[in-house]
Amino acid sequence: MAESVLVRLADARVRTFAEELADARSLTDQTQLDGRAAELIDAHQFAPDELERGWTILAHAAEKMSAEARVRTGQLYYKVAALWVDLTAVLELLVVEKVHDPDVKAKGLQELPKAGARLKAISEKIWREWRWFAPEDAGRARGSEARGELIAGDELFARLARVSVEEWRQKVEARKAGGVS
Amino acid sequence: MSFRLKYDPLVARLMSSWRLDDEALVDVYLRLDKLREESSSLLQRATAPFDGMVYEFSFVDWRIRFCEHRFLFLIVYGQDEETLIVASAIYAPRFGY
Repeated sequence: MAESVLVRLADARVRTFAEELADARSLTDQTQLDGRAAELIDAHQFAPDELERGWTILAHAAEKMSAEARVRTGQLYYKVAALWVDLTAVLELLVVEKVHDPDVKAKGLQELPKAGARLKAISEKIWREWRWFAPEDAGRARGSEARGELIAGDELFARLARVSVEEWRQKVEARKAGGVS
Repeated sequence: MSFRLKYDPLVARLMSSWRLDDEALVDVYLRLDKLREESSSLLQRATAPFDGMVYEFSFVDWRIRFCEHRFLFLIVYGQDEETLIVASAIYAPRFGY
């Protein structure tokens, strides 16, 4: 599906950048490191724009997605945005701690917090404004209720923890008692 | 008023993909369980981009490098009006904040 491809592309872009960042951090030659850091800073400035573009496309596509695809796509896109936020912080550390070239440092220190702030704002926008739920979700849940398909909490969480319902209840009681479950 | 709390099968599928460990699962369970007694103070009316009742919470997991677990659940009243149905669920971890 187009929306999944978009998210995968964005995710791949993050991974490539992370690998390049790790590569730059391992450089011992100062001139090479300064040059690589400058390239990364330049490339990084496009990240917020790319995410914004992706948001516009995905938000439109979300209207036609199933409930499950909508939720999963939103979660993946949020994760991609959060990874960019983390990468900005790491890149900033690289510039502050390891880059000696004053031109690279000045430019990096000036630009990175701005990119970081934009990325954080986009990440928060995805959390706040993504079409996580739709009116038909309520109808689907009531349909499950009518068919007797709803699941009790103990049963669901026991299944998720791969224990029996009794063992799950013991875990919960242990936590309530302040112990370690 | 005390409600019964039940989960749609979609929520089971979504939550199984989260791969939360037992400690975090207990946290989530206990937070959701509060809805049975305190729904009026915990539920929020969302108006955009969706109009409905949601329950949002987060907690910090200090064991995993300052990981904040964020959750958002869609809650629907059952037909008997004594049951709350968890109709959909969102999870988003944030690291390093």
